[in-house]
Amino acid sequence: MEETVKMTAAVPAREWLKKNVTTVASYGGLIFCVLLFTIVTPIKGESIWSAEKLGTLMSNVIVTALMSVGAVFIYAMGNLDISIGKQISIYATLMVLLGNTTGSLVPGIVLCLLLSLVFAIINGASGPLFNIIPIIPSVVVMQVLSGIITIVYAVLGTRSITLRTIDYSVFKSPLLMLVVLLVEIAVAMFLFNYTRIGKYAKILGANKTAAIQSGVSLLKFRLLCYMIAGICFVVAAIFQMGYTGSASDSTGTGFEMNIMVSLILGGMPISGGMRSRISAAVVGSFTFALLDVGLPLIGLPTRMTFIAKAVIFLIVVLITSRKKGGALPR
Amino acid sequence: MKKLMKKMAAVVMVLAMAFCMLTACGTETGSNKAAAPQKESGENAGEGNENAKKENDGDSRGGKILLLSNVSSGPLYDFHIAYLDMWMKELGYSYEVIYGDGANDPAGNLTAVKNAMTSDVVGLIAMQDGGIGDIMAEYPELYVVGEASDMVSVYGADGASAACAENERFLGTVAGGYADGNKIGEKMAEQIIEKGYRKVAICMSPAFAYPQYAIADKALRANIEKHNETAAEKIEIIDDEPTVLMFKPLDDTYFNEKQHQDLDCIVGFCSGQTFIYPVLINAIGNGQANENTKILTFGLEKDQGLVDDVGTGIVQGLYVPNFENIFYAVVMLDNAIQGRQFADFEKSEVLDGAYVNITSDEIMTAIEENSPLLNADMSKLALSLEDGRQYFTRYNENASYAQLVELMNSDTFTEKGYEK
Repeated sequence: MEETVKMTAAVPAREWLKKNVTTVASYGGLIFCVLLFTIVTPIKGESIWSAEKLGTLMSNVIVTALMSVGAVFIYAMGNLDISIGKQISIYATLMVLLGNTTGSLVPGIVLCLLLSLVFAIINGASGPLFNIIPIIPSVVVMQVLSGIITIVYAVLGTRSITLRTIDYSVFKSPLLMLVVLLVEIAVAMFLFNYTRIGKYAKILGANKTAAIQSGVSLLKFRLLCYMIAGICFVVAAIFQMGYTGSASDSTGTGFEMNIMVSLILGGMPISGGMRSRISAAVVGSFTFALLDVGLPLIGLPTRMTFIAKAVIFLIVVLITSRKKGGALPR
Repeated sequence: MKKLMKKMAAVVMVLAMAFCMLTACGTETGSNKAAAPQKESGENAGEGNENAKKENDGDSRGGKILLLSNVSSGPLYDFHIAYLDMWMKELGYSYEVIYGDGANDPAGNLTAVKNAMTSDVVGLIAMQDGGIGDIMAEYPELYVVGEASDMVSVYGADGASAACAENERFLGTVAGGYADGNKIGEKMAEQIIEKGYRKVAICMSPAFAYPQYAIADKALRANIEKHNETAAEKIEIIDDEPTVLMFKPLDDTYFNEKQHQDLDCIVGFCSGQTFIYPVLINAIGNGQANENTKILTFGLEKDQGLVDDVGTGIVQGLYVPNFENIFYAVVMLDNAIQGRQFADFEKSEVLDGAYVNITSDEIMTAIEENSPLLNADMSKLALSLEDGRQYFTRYNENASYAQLVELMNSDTFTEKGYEK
């Protein structure tokens, strides 16, 4: 919780609660899910806390969390990037193709990092340079990447490609996932809370005009935010590819929506601004993954889980996003 | 503060409501629950299980079977639900349908299985092969069998899941029709020749998604070429390459091209009732296409208009991999779970799925009236529950794999199985 709340003895509990009700409520979804699955799953003869299910939870959460942490930098500015899914797809495809060609994942990862810079420049810089809405370049990138992916798999004559010689089992380790996630969160938190990048991102999201008039370089900081996010997306793509050592023409489909849902579940205002937090990405991703893993354990048929998730999503959004005026927070 | 308290109370009540709703949803009365997970078959499973008990010493093992489905609606889905309801109740299992990745992405399929995995899951029927190797590596105790899938990643050259072919817990598969594209091409060429079409065009789903169709296209052309060597009236196949339908219907502009305006037949290596039929009807209505253009294609749609058309209208040949092919998966899984595998079962394999060939109005009527393919009526099965029992080792100690394969290759699951 970045908005560190220090409750002193002098501050009565009710005032503290009143002041921080939104922050507390943003964790409500996660707390509710943890409590629900902890209590109910044993009744059904299962346990959400078994090593196997924790591993499943971690593998479910890792890609969304890694992406969402990066996406906070973009969302904080009030921007949307809907090319993320296709970026992940192209990164995973390149890693597998180059991995099979060279026998190592390093060239693929390096190339993907370079590509992420290109996408960051297109998505981040074209807005301020050409005075267009930031979502437009990301639509273009998404469509171009979609076409490239279709062509690549058509030429390959298959819908999925697999690593042939490289042992990818290390990427399935829940411990490694946890460590990488923690490192990324720590770095992202530092950049977001203690450097100008994060602070300016929030200011740009809160009031772009005021930020620019205060001397904040829109181009520079938007570009930096997109670059940081791009690196996070490459890290996410490594784990996405490493999950099954494969990539397919549908890899990454709907990821941008998963990110959006996770961030909203975590209490992040979709319009960015000063309430943006890295923790929203983590809380939201875990809530999202917990629902996927926990609902079947309490005996809910798979086709019902979509409805249940939607209901919970609605409840959490109502709790975390409602403001006095009835509008979503800015 | 009073207002805040009210809000908090409202939140608590909403959460309580959601909690009750979720736990209520989780009861065992859901439509996909045929029977509660049991350690002993014969408990609460009706008359069928009484018979099972008698022939089975009552020591059978229960559990849950997952169906990794690639459809979530339509005749095939409805059939699977009804069929598994019937057989799982009979055998004393519960089952759950889970939804694989729409594009057979390995990671998506693995996630679907992992999320649905509970401690009582004992088997998996997989309708798509993406990530099968990873699923079996993740759950080495799980029995896996394919259904309506040729499992090319398992049995294909350099398949990503090739190791599964040697895994004793992988129990084989029945393809959704012929596993070999050459046979599909031959079949279509025979139909074209038999029906006397002279000018033919080919449309197909993309080869990278359906590689057997690319083989079928080549085989069809080769067979027609061979026919033309001796035939008095030659058959012309328009376009050197088939028209590829990228997961969407044929483009309206197709019939703007002159060579497509006077076709006798369009061969659709796809679900032609969905992807070709509507566009052709439109083109005929606009006067762009020959009103006598017919379609030979695959799949089965429930829409009454489409059903009525087959054999009498535009669709003159409809080839449907029989939904009852899933019987193989049920038998193989049950034998394995019960530890009573066929004595003559040595290694898993891919079997051709039987086709229901609907080439006339009479056959379509027979399918409508006598088969469960359109209505999921289990009293109309080609192989009834009673007749099917003999293939399970739990009921018949002498049951053999050879007999099961013979059944799958027989006419039982073709259109002849529904003749009265």
